[in-house]
Amino acid sequence: MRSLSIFKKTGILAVVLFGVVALLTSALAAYMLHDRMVAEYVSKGTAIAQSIAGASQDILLNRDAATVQAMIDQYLEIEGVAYVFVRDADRIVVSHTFVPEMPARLATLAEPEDGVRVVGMTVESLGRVIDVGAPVLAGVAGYVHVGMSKELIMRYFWATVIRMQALLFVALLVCVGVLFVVTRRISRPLQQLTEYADRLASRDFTADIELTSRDEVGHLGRTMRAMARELARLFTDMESEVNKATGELREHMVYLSAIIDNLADGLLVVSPTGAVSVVNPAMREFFGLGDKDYSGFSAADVFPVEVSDLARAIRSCEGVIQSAEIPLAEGRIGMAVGSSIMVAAPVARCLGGVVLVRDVTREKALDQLKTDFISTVSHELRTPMTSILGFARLIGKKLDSAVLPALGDNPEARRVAVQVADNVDIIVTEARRLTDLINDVLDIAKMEAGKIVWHDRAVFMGDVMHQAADATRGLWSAKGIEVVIEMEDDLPPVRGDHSRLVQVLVNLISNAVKFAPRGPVTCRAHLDRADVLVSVADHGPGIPASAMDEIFDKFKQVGDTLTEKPSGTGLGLPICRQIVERHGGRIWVESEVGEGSVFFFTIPALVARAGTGDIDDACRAMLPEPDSAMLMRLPEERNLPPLILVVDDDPILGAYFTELFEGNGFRVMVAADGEQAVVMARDHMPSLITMDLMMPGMDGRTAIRCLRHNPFTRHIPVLVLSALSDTATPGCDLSLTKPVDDRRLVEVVRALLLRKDVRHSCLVLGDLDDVTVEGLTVFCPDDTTFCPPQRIWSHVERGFRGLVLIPAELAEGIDVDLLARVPGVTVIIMPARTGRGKTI
Amino acid sequence: MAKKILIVDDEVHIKMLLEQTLEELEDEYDVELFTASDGEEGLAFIRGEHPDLVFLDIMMPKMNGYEVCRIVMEDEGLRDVKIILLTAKGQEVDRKQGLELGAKMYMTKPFDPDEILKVSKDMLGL
Repeated sequence: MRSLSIFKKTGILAVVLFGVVALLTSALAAYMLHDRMVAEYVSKGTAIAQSIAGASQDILLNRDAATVQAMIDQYLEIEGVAYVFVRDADRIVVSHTFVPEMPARLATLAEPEDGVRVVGMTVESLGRVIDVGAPVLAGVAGYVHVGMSKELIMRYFWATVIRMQALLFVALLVCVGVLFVVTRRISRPLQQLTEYADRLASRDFTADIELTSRDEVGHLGRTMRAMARELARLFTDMESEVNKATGELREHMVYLSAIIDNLADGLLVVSPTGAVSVVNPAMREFFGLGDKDYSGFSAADVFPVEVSDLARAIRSCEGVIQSAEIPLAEGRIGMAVGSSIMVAAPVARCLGGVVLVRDVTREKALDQLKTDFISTVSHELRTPMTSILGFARLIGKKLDSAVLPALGDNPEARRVAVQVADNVDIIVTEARRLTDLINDVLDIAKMEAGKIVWHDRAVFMGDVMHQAADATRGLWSAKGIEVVIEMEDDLPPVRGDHSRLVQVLVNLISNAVKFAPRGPVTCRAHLDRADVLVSVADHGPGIPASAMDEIFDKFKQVGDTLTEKPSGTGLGLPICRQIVERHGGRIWVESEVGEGSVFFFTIPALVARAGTGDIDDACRAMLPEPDSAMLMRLPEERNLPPLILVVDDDPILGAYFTELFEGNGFRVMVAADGEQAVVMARDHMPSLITMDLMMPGMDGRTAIRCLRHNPFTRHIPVLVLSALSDTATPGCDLSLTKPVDDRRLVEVVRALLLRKDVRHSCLVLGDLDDVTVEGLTVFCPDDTTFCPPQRIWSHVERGFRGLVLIPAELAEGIDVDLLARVPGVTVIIMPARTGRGKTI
Repeated sequence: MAKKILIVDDEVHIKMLLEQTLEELEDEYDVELFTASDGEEGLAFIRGEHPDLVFLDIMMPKMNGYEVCRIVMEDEGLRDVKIILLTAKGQEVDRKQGLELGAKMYMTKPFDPDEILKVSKDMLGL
């Protein structure tokens, strides 16, 4: 009981305090009483002694002992008097009140000489006494001694103390009683408060307390109640906050899982160990998994190998995003994309991987449909066009060859026949236009659908311009307009599809010729920063500024289509734009109405231009002198297998590649750095160069720039073998990332060598400038390679089959007869040129 | 001995056009013209008559032109038959496929009758 404990504490305290007070009080009182009584007894004894001394002078002098005895016996009656004895001057006891005799201690007692003397002593049988001695007649008559009993004083003393203690004890009892009652009155509300606090502590905020008192306890109670209410409110608030947050969280979870469940794409989450953690319904459907819970299963046990392989590749967060086409249930096709789940904070760790599978069956089907459509339209339109065009031409021919001669001199019939012939010509012209339109529409449709196969390689814009000019010869020569080609020397090649770039220029030149009333049409090409800029300028009617952008849109031609009959399909420029933009270039027009138009397009150059500071000094120092004594240094390569120049600073790798290539029937040379590579390439003319990028001294990229800059090494295919897989290396033909698989490397090398020699069906000796281009494109509509005369045999050895065009002035240095006997090789000697006319 | 030219096309009009175009050759040179309306018929003719030159359409019922071309080129005895593929498909893949199979030429419809005449003369060495 808490209240009793308070009572006990206060009770003990009260008793101790009371006891101390009582003891001190009684001790003080007893001490004062003792003092007072001793003083009173001394004075009483003194009075008695003096009274006896006064009355006994004569008697003593008379030695009347009996009288003295009678007198002192009287005094013995007085309270406190223990004894009385009288001695004479000779200190002989005259009389005394002792029975039976006087104690020895008193007999030896000294006598007072002058006045009264008080002495305390202890006497046997009497206890402690106070002896008061007084002389009679200054000792002449004798001495009187009165003994006052101190024992009596002590008796009073103790009686007083005991009474006092008893009284105080009673008072103490009363006090304790009162204390008990008071503590109880205080502790009851305290106990109630305690119980109240206990209930609050057990979060029973419904508890209440009755408070009537206005004292501290009441105040405390009220404070507690206010506190409890505040607590209850806080608690409720907090609870509702928590509930709200939990609700929101739950709602969010529901939202997220609803999203996952309703994804049209299949979702699979795997842990870093490869265990399945989430599979959404779409994924179940894709793989026919049913409703079973697959959590914790190994992905390899649940999914086909394509998916589990993907999951394995991404789950440890080591790879990059991967994708794969995978077969789904019911013969559908899915595109799976896998990515890793990384958490950055608080500590970066891998949570596994996510595989998303999209059903691309429809897209695939659409894609196929598009291809089929293009193919079908192409077939369905072209077949009737063939008949229309073909028969119209046949009719025309037969009119000329059979009908007209048969008509004889009948003027009416001849007039009609000529009219018919004109009409047939119109049919032919219009049918041709329609055919062009169909071709253009299909072209642009194919480009937009990404159905064009682009044959990218290094392309020299000069070739392109000449080829385009030649292809449009029919148009401009018929109209009497000249086409002029102006080209900057040393123009670097661009990477692109040769025939498509020719198509762009053919379009631009034929447009210019079509619209311009007079010539010339000028084609220019020069390097503009990193791009090759080509322009086609005419003296046509010009294009108003408002139409300059529109003309590159489909089916837009300048002018009113109602009043001015459009010629052409209106698709030429859009096709040009598609091709140019695909090459990473830009096409635009600048024009002034009445003055003419200039069409421009850019194609990024493959290598930087010489002498612009882009080529290192080291590289420039290695460039051949302008006169080509170079040619004389070229070694004879007849009957030798292709030479491969391996460029690698690591001697072990160099030896390894040497062994590999020699094992595959090639000749090999090794260069340890870029500088050495450039020199060796210049001196030995390898068929192919494999190039490491990271090398001391001149690095691989610079070496490639040097090689491409040199007209004699420009054509050599360069295969980059590098540990860096970051960016494409400008100027190289192909790049492989180390480590390279042996077989693949040899395959790639063969393909590069083969592509060079087989695809080029025309081989022209000398440089473009040495050859009159006239007629060249007739023989070589597609790929043309220019090569120095000494190189012809190495080309043939490496399997070149096709036309070899030899300018007459170079023919003497070559065994033409032998060359012509090579199966599949046709030799054409071109007439000696009459001038270096670039105009054709 | 007369040179034999076979025209294989399922389109009647194209067949007629080619026939009428090539009639000119028939008049001038010792050339015989034959036609077939599908791949099977064409193949049977090639096997039986061993023509010198075949104009072969690609999209045909029963057996397509590629198939005919492949079978003919695989036959040792027929390998010298010159085949010119005719197609309305202008896609480069088709062109490559045809030439890989051993066809001598690949002509895209619509073609110019004069071109047909010129090519035929070249091929037959006339």
